[in-house]
Amino acid sequence: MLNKLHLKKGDIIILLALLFVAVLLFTLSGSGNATAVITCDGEVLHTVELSKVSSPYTINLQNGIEIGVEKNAVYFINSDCSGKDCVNCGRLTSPGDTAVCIPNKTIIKLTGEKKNAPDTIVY
Amino acid sequence: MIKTKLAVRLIAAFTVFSVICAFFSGCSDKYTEFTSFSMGSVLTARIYTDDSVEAENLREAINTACEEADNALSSTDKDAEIYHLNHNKRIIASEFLKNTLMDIIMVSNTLERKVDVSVGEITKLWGFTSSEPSVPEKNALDSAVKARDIEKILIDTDSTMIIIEDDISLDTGAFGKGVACDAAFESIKNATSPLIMTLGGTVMAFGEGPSKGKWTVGIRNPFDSADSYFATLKLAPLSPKNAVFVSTSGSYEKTFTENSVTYHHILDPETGYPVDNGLVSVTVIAHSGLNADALSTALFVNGFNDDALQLLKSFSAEAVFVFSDGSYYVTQGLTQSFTLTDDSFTLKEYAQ
Repeated sequence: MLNKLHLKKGDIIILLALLFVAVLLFTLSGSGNATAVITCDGEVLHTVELSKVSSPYTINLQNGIEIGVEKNAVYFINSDCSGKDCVNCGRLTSPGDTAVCIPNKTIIKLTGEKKNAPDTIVY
Repeated sequence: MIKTKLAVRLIAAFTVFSVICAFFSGCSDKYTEFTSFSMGSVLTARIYTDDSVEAENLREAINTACEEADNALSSTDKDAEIYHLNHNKRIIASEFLKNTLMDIIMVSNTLERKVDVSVGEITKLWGFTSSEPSVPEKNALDSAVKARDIEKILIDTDSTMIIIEDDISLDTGAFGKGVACDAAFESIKNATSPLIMTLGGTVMAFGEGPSKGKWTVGIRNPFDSADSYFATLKLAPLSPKNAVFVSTSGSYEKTFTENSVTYHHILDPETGYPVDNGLVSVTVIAHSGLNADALSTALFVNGFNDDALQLLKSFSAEAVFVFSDGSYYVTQGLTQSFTLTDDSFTLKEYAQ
Protein backbone atom coordinates (compact mmCIF):
# COMPACT_ATOMS: atom_id res chain seq x y z
CA MET A 1 0.00 0.00 0.00
CA LEU A 2 2.82 2.39 0.84
CA ASN A 3 4.36 1.72 -2.57
CA LYS A 4 1.19 2.71 -4.36
CA LEU A 5 1.47 6.15 -2.78
CA HIS A 6 5.07 6.31 -4.04
CA LEU A 7 6.27 7.12 -0.56
CA LYS A 8 9.98 7.19 -0.05
CA LYS A 9 11.81 6.45 3.15
CA GLY A 10 12.30 10.21 3.65
CA ASP A 11 8.57 10.87 3.36
CA ILE A 12 7.79 8.36 6.06
CA ILE A 13 10.41 9.90 8.32
CA ILE A 14 8.89 13.35 7.70
CA LEU A 15 5.38 12.04 8.39
CA LEU A 16 6.47 10.41 11.63
CA ALA A 17 8.28 13.60 12.63
CA LEU A 18 5.14 15.67 11.94
CA LEU A 19 3.01 13.25 13.94
CA PHE A 20 5.50 13.55 16.80
CA VAL A 21 5.39 17.38 16.68
CA ALA A 22 1.57 17.37 16.60
CA VAL A 23 1.35 15.08 19.62
CA LEU A 24 3.98 17.15 21.43
CA LEU A 25 2.06 20.39 20.75
CA PHE A 26 -1.15 18.77 21.95
CA THR A 27 0.30 17.50 25.22
CA LEU A 28 2.15 20.76 25.90
CA SER A 29 -0.98 22.82 25.34
CA GLY A 30 -2.89 20.72 27.85
CA SER A 31 -0.48 20.80 30.76
CA GLY A 32 1.88 23.04 32.64
CA ASN A 33 1.96 26.84 32.64
CA ALA A 34 -1.06 26.93 34.92
CA THR A 35 -2.39 30.42 35.49
CA ALA A 36 -4.25 31.16 38.72
CA VAL A 37 -7.25 33.46 38.36
CA ILE A 38 -8.61 34.95 41.59
CA THR A 39 -12.14 36.37 41.38
CA CYS A 40 -14.47 37.96 43.91
CA ASP A 41 -18.18 38.08 43.03
CA GLY A 42 -17.32 37.60 39.36
CA GLU A 43 -14.66 40.33 39.20
CA VAL A 44 -11.11 39.21 38.35
CA LEU A 45 -8.81 40.60 41.06
CA HIS A 46 -5.52 38.84 40.30
CA THR A 47 -4.04 36.71 37.54
CA VAL A 48 -0.83 34.88 38.40
CA GLU A 49 1.28 32.75 36.05
CA LEU A 50 2.37 30.16 38.60
CA SER A 51 5.44 28.84 36.75
CA LYS A 52 6.97 32.33 36.86
CA VAL A 53 6.68 32.81 40.63
CA SER A 54 10.25 33.03 41.93
CA SER A 55 9.63 33.34 45.67
CA PRO A 56 6.47 32.68 47.70
CA TYR A 57 4.28 35.62 48.68
CA THR A 58 0.85 36.40 50.17
CA ILE A 59 -2.05 38.24 48.59
CA ASN A 60 -4.39 40.03 51.02
CA LEU A 61 -7.85 40.64 49.59
CA GLN A 62 -10.08 43.47 50.84
CA ASN A 63 -12.59 40.94 52.19
CA GLY A 64 -9.97 39.68 54.66
CA ILE A 65 -8.95 36.59 52.71
CA GLU A 66 -5.26 35.66 52.57
CA ILE A 67 -4.01 33.69 49.57
CA GLY A 68 -0.61 32.02 49.40
CA VAL A 69 1.24 31.97 46.08
CA GLU A 70 4.30 29.81 45.35
CA LYS A 71 5.97 28.41 42.27
CA ASN A 72 3.34 26.13 40.66
CA ALA A 73 0.93 26.30 43.62
CA VAL A 74 -1.71 28.58 45.12
CA TYR A 75 -3.98 28.18 48.17
CA PHE A 76 -6.27 29.86 50.69
CA ILE A 77 -4.24 30.60 53.83
CA ASN A 78 -7.05 32.14 55.86
CA SER A 79 -10.59 33.46 55.63
CA ASP A 80 -13.05 34.83 58.18
CA CYS A 81 -15.76 32.34 57.12
CA SER A 82 -17.05 29.78 59.63
CA GLY A 83 -16.71 26.56 57.64
CA LYS A 84 -13.13 27.10 56.35
CA ASP A 85 -13.98 24.87 53.36
CA CYS A 86 -11.76 27.09 51.22
CA VAL A 87 -8.72 26.62 53.47
CA ASN A 88 -9.40 22.87 53.65
CA CYS A 89 -9.21 22.62 49.84
CA GLY A 90 -5.43 22.77 50.25
CA ARG A 91 -2.95 23.54 47.49
CA LEU A 92 -4.08 23.94 43.89
CA THR A 93 -1.40 22.69 41.50
CA SER A 94 -2.97 21.26 38.31
CA PRO A 95 -4.98 22.86 35.51
CA GLY A 96 -8.69 22.95 36.34
CA ASP A 97 -8.13 22.87 40.13
CA THR A 98 -10.59 25.14 41.90
CA ALA A 99 -11.13 26.32 45.49
CA VAL A 100 -14.10 28.40 46.57
CA CYS A 101 -15.04 30.47 49.62
CA ILE A 102 -18.82 30.74 49.31
CA PRO A 103 -19.46 33.27 52.15
CA ASN A 104 -16.89 35.67 50.65
CA LYS A 105 -17.81 34.83 47.03
CA THR A 106 -14.13 34.27 46.26
CA ILE A 107 -12.81 31.71 43.77
CA ILE A 108 -9.28 30.58 42.90
CA LYS A 109 -9.20 28.66 39.64
CA LEU A 110 -6.25 27.34 37.68
CA THR A 111 -6.90 27.76 33.97
CA GLY A 112 -7.03 24.75 31.72
CA GLU A 113 -8.85 21.49 31.95
CA LYS A 114 -8.26 18.36 33.99
CA LYS A 115 -7.52 15.33 31.87
CA ASN A 116 -10.21 12.64 31.77
CA ALA A 117 -12.24 14.58 34.32
CA PRO A 118 -16.04 14.23 34.36
CA ASP A 119 -18.12 17.13 33.00
CA THR A 120 -19.12 17.93 36.58
CA ILE A 121 -19.04 16.44 40.07
CA VAL A 122 -22.25 16.19 42.07
CA TYR A 123 -21.79 16.60 45.83
CA MET B 1 9.45 18.85 -12.72
CA ILE B 2 11.47 18.06 -9.66
CA LYS B 3 10.36 21.30 -8.08
CA THR B 4 6.70 20.48 -8.72
CA LYS B 5 7.15 17.10 -7.07
CA LEU B 6 8.78 18.73 -4.09
CA ALA B 7 5.97 21.24 -3.85
CA VAL B 8 3.36 18.47 -4.03
CA ARG B 9 5.16 16.56 -1.33
CA LEU B 10 5.42 19.62 0.88
CA ILE B 11 1.73 20.38 0.41
CA ALA B 12 0.88 16.76 1.15
CA ALA B 13 3.01 16.80 4.27
CA PHE B 14 1.44 20.05 5.45
CA THR B 15 -2.05 18.66 4.84
CA VAL B 16 -1.27 15.55 6.86
CA PHE B 17 0.11 17.76 9.65
CA SER B 18 -3.05 19.91 9.65
CA VAL B 19 -5.28 16.86 9.74
CA ILE B 20 -3.35 15.40 12.67
CA CYS B 21 -3.52 18.70 14.57
CA ALA B 22 -7.23 19.05 13.81
CA PHE B 23 -7.78 15.52 15.07
CA PHE B 24 -6.11 16.22 18.37
CA SER B 25 -7.73 19.62 18.92
CA GLY B 26 -11.08 18.06 18.02
CA CYS B 27 -10.64 15.76 21.00
CA SER B 28 -11.60 18.58 23.35
CA ASP B 29 -14.98 20.12 22.61
CA LYS B 30 -15.31 23.85 22.75
CA TYR B 31 -17.29 25.21 25.65
CA THR B 32 -17.61 28.36 27.66
CA GLU B 33 -17.59 27.92 31.42
CA PHE B 34 -18.80 30.44 33.95
CA THR B 35 -18.97 30.40 37.72
CA SER B 36 -21.05 32.58 40.02
CA PHE B 37 -22.93 32.34 43.33
CA SER B 38 -26.62 31.67 43.83
CA MET B 39 -28.82 30.28 46.63
CA GLY B 40 -25.88 30.19 49.02
CA SER B 41 -23.99 27.86 46.66
CA VAL B 42 -21.63 27.89 43.75
CA LEU B 43 -23.27 27.96 40.32
CA THR B 44 -21.18 26.70 37.40
CA ALA B 45 -22.26 26.08 33.83
CA ARG B 46 -20.51 24.79 30.74
CA ILE B 47 -22.11 25.82 27.48
CA TYR B 48 -21.00 23.89 24.38
CA THR B 49 -20.98 26.39 21.55
CA ASP B 50 -18.54 28.36 19.35
CA ASP B 51 -20.99 31.25 19.26
CA SER B 52 -20.05 33.69 22.02
CA VAL B 53 -23.35 35.60 21.75
CA GLU B 54 -25.32 32.39 22.21
CA ALA B 55 -23.13 31.46 25.20
CA GLU B 56 -23.70 34.87 26.78
CA ASN B 57 -27.48 34.67 26.24
CA LEU B 58 -27.66 31.24 27.85
CA ARG B 59 -25.45 32.36 30.74
CA GLU B 60 -27.80 35.29 31.30
CA ALA B 61 -30.88 33.03 31.13
CA ILE B 62 -29.46 30.58 33.69
CA ASN B 63 -28.38 33.35 36.07
CA THR B 64 -31.76 35.06 35.84
CA ALA B 65 -33.65 31.81 36.50
CA CYS B 66 -31.53 31.09 39.59
CA GLU B 67 -31.93 34.66 40.84
CA GLU B 68 -35.72 34.47 40.43
CA ALA B 69 -35.83 31.18 42.33
CA ASP B 70 -33.65 32.67 45.08
CA ASN B 71 -35.79 35.83 45.30
CA ALA B 72 -38.83 33.64 45.87
CA LEU B 73 -37.42 30.86 48.07
CA SER B 74 -34.69 32.27 50.32
CA SER B 75 -35.44 32.34 54.05
CA THR B 76 -32.37 34.48 54.84
CA ASP B 77 -32.54 37.18 52.16
CA LYS B 78 -34.67 40.04 53.54
CA ASP B 79 -36.12 40.80 50.09
CA ALA B 80 -37.21 37.23 49.41
CA GLU B 81 -40.84 36.11 49.49
CA ILE B 82 -40.35 33.17 51.86
CA TYR B 83 -38.48 35.48 54.27
CA HIS B 84 -41.54 37.74 54.31
CA LEU B 85 -43.91 34.81 54.68
CA ASN B 86 -41.91 33.46 57.64
CA HIS B 87 -41.96 36.85 59.37
CA ASN B 88 -45.46 38.11 58.55
CA LYS B 89 -47.13 34.67 58.29
CA ARG B 90 -49.01 35.84 55.19
CA ILE B 91 -48.08 37.28 51.80
CA ILE B 92 -49.48 37.98 48.39
CA ALA B 93 -47.14 35.65 46.54
CA SER B 94 -45.83 35.64 43.00
CA GLU B 95 -47.32 33.13 40.58
CA PHE B 96 -43.91 31.42 40.60
CA LEU B 97 -43.86 30.94 44.40
CA LYS B 98 -47.48 29.78 44.49
CA ASN B 99 -46.90 27.11 41.83
CA THR B 100 -43.57 26.08 43.31
CA LEU B 101 -45.01 25.67 46.81
CA MET B 102 -47.88 23.57 45.47
CA ASP B 103 -45.37 21.35 43.63
CA ILE B 104 -43.21 21.06 46.77
CA ILE B 105 -46.20 20.06 48.93
CA MET B 106 -47.27 17.47 46.38
CA VAL B 107 -43.78 15.94 46.22
CA SER B 108 -43.53 15.96 50.04
CA ASN B 109 -46.80 14.08 50.34
CA THR B 110 -45.74 11.47 47.77
CA LEU B 111 -42.51 11.08 49.71
CA GLU B 112 -44.50 10.40 52.89
CA ARG B 113 -43.28 13.74 54.30
CA LYS B 114 -39.79 12.39 54.84
CA VAL B 115 -38.76 15.69 53.40
CA ASP B 116 -40.81 18.61 54.67
CA VAL B 117 -40.90 22.31 53.79
CA SER B 118 -42.51 23.25 57.16
CA VAL B 119 -39.34 22.50 59.18
CA GLY B 120 -38.18 26.14 59.20
CA GLU B 121 -38.32 26.46 63.00
CA ILE B 122 -36.25 23.28 63.41
CA THR B 123 -33.48 24.34 61.01
CA LYS B 124 -33.47 27.82 62.55
CA LEU B 125 -32.75 26.31 65.99
CA TRP B 126 -29.74 24.41 64.58
CA GLY B 127 -28.55 27.46 62.66
CA PHE B 128 -26.93 25.53 59.81
CA THR B 129 -27.28 28.55 57.51
CA SER B 130 -25.87 30.94 60.12
CA SER B 131 -22.20 31.36 60.90
CA GLU B 132 -22.56 29.79 64.37
CA PRO B 133 -24.51 26.52 64.22
CA SER B 134 -25.07 24.77 67.56
CA VAL B 135 -27.08 21.94 69.14
CA PRO B 136 -30.50 23.34 70.15
CA GLU B 137 -32.03 23.05 73.58
CA LYS B 138 -34.13 19.85 73.69
CA ASN B 139 -37.45 21.40 74.77
CA ALA B 140 -37.34 24.06 72.07
CA LEU B 141 -36.46 21.44 69.46
CA ASP B 142 -39.25 19.11 70.59
CA SER B 143 -41.91 21.79 70.30
CA ALA B 144 -40.63 22.84 66.86
CA VAL B 145 -40.81 19.19 65.75
CA LYS B 146 -44.33 18.89 67.11
CA ALA B 147 -45.46 22.09 65.40
CA ARG B 148 -44.19 21.33 61.91
CA ASP B 149 -46.95 20.27 59.54
CA ILE B 150 -47.42 21.05 55.85
CA GLU B 151 -51.19 21.15 56.45
CA LYS B 152 -50.51 24.48 58.18
CA ILE B 153 -49.66 26.07 54.84
CA LEU B 154 -52.75 27.54 53.20
CA ILE B 155 -52.58 28.52 49.55
CA ASP B 156 -55.53 30.42 48.12
CA THR B 157 -55.63 29.26 44.52
CA ASP B 158 -57.99 32.06 43.40
CA SER B 159 -55.83 34.89 44.64
CA THR B 160 -52.17 34.26 45.34
CA MET B 161 -52.46 34.68 49.09
CA ILE B 162 -50.31 32.27 51.11
CA ILE B 163 -50.87 31.99 54.85
CA ILE B 164 -48.92 29.88 57.36
CA GLU B 165 -49.85 29.24 60.97
CA ASP B 166 -47.94 31.18 63.62
CA ASP B 167 -45.94 28.26 65.02
CA ILE B 168 -44.27 27.17 61.78
CA SER B 169 -41.96 28.68 59.20
CA LEU B 170 -40.80 27.38 55.85
CA ASP B 171 -37.37 26.13 54.80
CA THR B 172 -36.97 25.28 51.12
CA GLY B 173 -33.40 24.02 51.55
CA ALA B 174 -34.19 20.48 50.38
CA PHE B 175 -35.99 21.70 47.24
CA GLY B 176 -34.64 25.10 46.20
CA LYS B 177 -31.68 24.10 44.04
CA GLY B 178 -33.83 21.57 42.20
CA VAL B 179 -36.49 24.23 41.62
CA ALA B 180 -33.81 26.61 40.30
CA CYS B 181 -32.49 23.92 37.93
CA ASP B 182 -36.04 23.35 36.65
CA ALA B 183 -36.49 27.11 36.13
CA ALA B 184 -33.16 27.27 34.30
CA PHE B 185 -34.21 24.36 32.07
CA GLU B 186 -37.51 26.10 31.27
CA SER B 187 -35.66 29.22 30.17
CA ILE B 188 -33.09 27.47 27.91
CA LYS B 189 -35.05 24.49 26.58
CA ASN B 190 -35.26 25.92 23.05
CA ALA B 191 -31.50 26.39 22.81
CA THR B 192 -29.46 24.41 20.30
CA SER B 193 -26.29 24.31 22.43
CA PRO B 194 -25.90 21.49 24.94
CA LEU B 195 -25.05 22.66 28.45
CA ILE B 196 -24.52 21.37 31.95
CA MET B 197 -25.13 23.42 35.09
CA THR B 198 -24.26 22.60 38.68
CA LEU B 199 -25.91 24.50 41.53
CA GLY B 200 -24.66 23.23 44.88
CA GLY B 201 -25.54 19.54 44.98
CA THR B 202 -27.89 19.56 41.98
CA VAL B 203 -27.02 19.16 38.29
CA MET B 204 -29.04 19.85 35.14
CA ALA B 205 -27.61 18.40 31.90
CA PHE B 206 -29.34 19.57 28.74
CA GLY B 207 -29.01 18.11 25.25
CA GLU B 208 -26.31 15.83 23.90
CA GLY B 209 -23.24 15.51 26.10
CA PRO B 210 -19.66 15.66 24.79
CA SER B 211 -18.95 11.95 25.18
CA LYS B 212 -20.91 10.11 22.47
CA GLY B 213 -23.98 12.16 23.30
CA LYS B 214 -23.66 11.47 27.02
CA TRP B 215 -22.74 13.56 30.04
CA THR B 216 -20.20 12.28 32.52
CA VAL B 217 -21.13 13.14 36.10
CA GLY B 218 -18.73 12.24 38.91
CA ILE B 219 -20.23 11.30 42.28
CA ARG B 220 -18.32 12.87 45.13
CA ASN B 221 -16.18 10.59 47.28
CA PRO B 222 -17.79 11.22 50.71
CA PHE B 223 -14.55 10.38 52.49
CA ASP B 224 -12.27 12.74 50.56
CA SER B 225 -12.04 16.39 49.49
CA ALA B 226 -14.79 18.19 47.55
CA ASP B 227 -13.26 17.67 44.09
CA SER B 228 -12.66 13.92 44.40
CA TYR B 229 -15.13 11.37 43.07
CA PHE B 230 -15.44 7.62 43.53
CA ALA B 231 -17.58 6.78 40.50
CA THR B 232 -18.97 8.29 37.33
CA LEU B 233 -22.36 8.11 35.65
CA LYS B 234 -22.80 8.40 31.87
CA LEU B 235 -26.16 10.06 31.45
CA ALA B 236 -28.28 11.23 28.53
CA PRO B 237 -31.63 13.04 28.56
CA LEU B 238 -34.61 11.21 27.06
CA SER B 239 -34.27 13.36 23.94
CA PRO B 240 -31.84 16.07 22.76
CA LYS B 241 -34.42 18.72 23.72
CA ASN B 242 -34.63 17.37 27.23
CA ALA B 243 -32.54 17.48 30.39
CA VAL B 244 -31.51 14.95 32.98
CA PHE B 245 -31.26 15.98 36.63
CA VAL B 246 -28.92 14.65 39.32
CA SER B 247 -28.88 15.57 42.99
CA THR B 248 -26.79 14.41 45.93
CA SER B 249 -27.48 14.69 49.66
CA GLY B 250 -24.43 13.98 51.77
CA SER B 251 -23.73 14.09 55.50
CA TYR B 252 -20.28 15.62 54.79
CA GLU B 253 -21.87 18.93 53.77
CA LYS B 254 -22.50 21.72 56.32
CA THR B 255 -21.18 20.07 59.44
CA PHE B 256 -20.06 21.41 62.80
CA THR B 257 -18.49 19.85 65.87
CA GLU B 258 -19.65 20.43 69.43
CA ASN B 259 -18.23 18.60 72.48
CA SER B 260 -16.28 16.40 70.03
CA VAL B 261 -19.48 15.20 68.33
CA THR B 262 -19.89 16.09 64.62
CA TYR B 263 -23.37 17.09 63.49
CA HIS B 264 -24.52 17.27 59.85
CA HIS B 265 -27.37 19.23 58.27
CA ILE B 266 -29.75 16.48 57.08
CA LEU B 267 -32.37 16.48 59.85
CA ASP B 268 -35.05 13.87 60.39
CA PRO B 269 -38.32 15.88 60.48
CA GLU B 270 -39.73 13.30 62.95
CA THR B 271 -37.03 13.83 65.60
CA GLY B 272 -35.37 17.12 64.66
CA TYR B 273 -31.91 15.53 64.91
CA PRO B 274 -29.38 14.70 62.17
CA VAL B 275 -30.13 11.38 60.50
CA ASP B 276 -27.88 8.51 61.58
CA ASN B 277 -28.66 5.35 59.61
CA GLY B 278 -25.39 4.28 58.02
CA LEU B 279 -25.81 6.36 54.85
CA VAL B 280 -23.23 9.01 53.94
CA SER B 281 -24.67 10.06 50.60
CA VAL B 282 -27.60 9.46 48.27
CA THR B 283 -27.44 10.53 44.62
CA VAL B 284 -30.69 10.57 42.65
CA ILE B 285 -31.18 10.77 38.87
CA ALA B 286 -34.65 12.01 37.93
CA HIS B 287 -36.68 13.79 35.23
CA SER B 288 -36.98 17.04 37.16
CA GLY B 289 -34.70 19.00 39.45
CA LEU B 290 -37.34 19.19 42.17
CA ASN B 291 -37.84 15.42 42.15
CA ALA B 292 -34.09 14.74 42.21
CA ASP B 293 -33.47 17.23 45.02
CA ALA B 294 -36.43 16.19 47.20
CA LEU B 295 -35.83 12.46 46.64
CA SER B 296 -32.15 12.59 47.60
CA THR B 297 -33.05 14.16 50.96
CA ALA B 298 -36.11 11.97 51.55
CA LEU B 299 -34.16 8.77 50.81
CA PHE B 300 -31.33 9.90 53.06
CA VAL B 301 -33.86 10.38 55.87
CA ASN B 302 -35.69 7.13 55.08
CA GLY B 303 -32.55 5.01 54.96
CA PHE B 304 -31.71 2.23 52.53
CA ASN B 305 -34.44 -0.42 52.33
CA ASP B 306 -37.25 -1.74 50.10
CA ASP B 307 -39.34 1.36 50.85
CA ALA B 308 -36.58 3.56 49.45
CA LEU B 309 -36.40 1.51 46.25
CA GLN B 310 -40.19 1.63 45.96
CA LEU B 311 -40.25 5.43 46.31
CA LEU B 312 -37.66 5.67 43.52
CA LYS B 313 -39.82 3.50 41.27
CA SER B 314 -42.86 5.71 41.84
CA PHE B 315 -40.83 8.64 40.43
CA SER B 316 -39.15 6.56 37.65
CA ALA B 317 -35.91 7.65 39.28
CA GLU B 318 -32.61 5.86 39.91
CA ALA B 319 -30.11 6.23 42.74
CA VAL B 320 -26.64 5.49 44.08
CA PHE B 321 -26.39 4.95 47.85
CA VAL B 322 -23.08 5.23 49.71
CA PHE B 323 -22.66 3.83 53.22
CA SER B 324 -20.33 4.79 56.07
CA ASP B 325 -18.40 1.47 55.71
CA GLY B 326 -17.33 2.41 52.15
CA SER B 327 -19.86 0.19 50.40
CA TYR B 328 -22.31 1.40 47.75
CA TYR B 329 -25.50 0.29 46.03
CA VAL B 330 -26.61 1.17 42.49
CA THR B 331 -30.23 0.71 41.38
CA GLN B 332 -30.87 -1.62 38.46
CA GLY B 333 -31.58 1.04 35.82
CA LEU B 334 -28.14 2.57 36.37
CA THR B 335 -25.86 -0.47 36.17
CA GLN B 336 -24.96 0.25 32.51
CA SER B 337 -24.12 3.91 33.11
CA PHE B 338 -22.23 3.48 36.40
CA THR B 339 -18.43 3.16 36.47
CA LEU B 340 -16.51 2.71 39.72
CA THR B 341 -13.31 4.76 39.60
CA ASP B 342 -12.06 4.14 43.15
CA ASP B 343 -11.42 0.47 43.95
CA SER B 344 -11.51 1.00 47.72
CA PHE B 345 -15.33 1.09 47.50
CA THR B 346 -17.19 -2.22 47.54
CA LEU B 347 -20.56 -3.20 46.13
CA LYS B 348 -23.20 -3.84 48.80
CA GLU B 349 -25.02 -7.15 48.58
CA TYR B 350 -28.77 -6.61 48.67
CA ALA B 351 -31.55 -8.90 47.48
CA GLN B 352 -34.73 -7.06 46.58
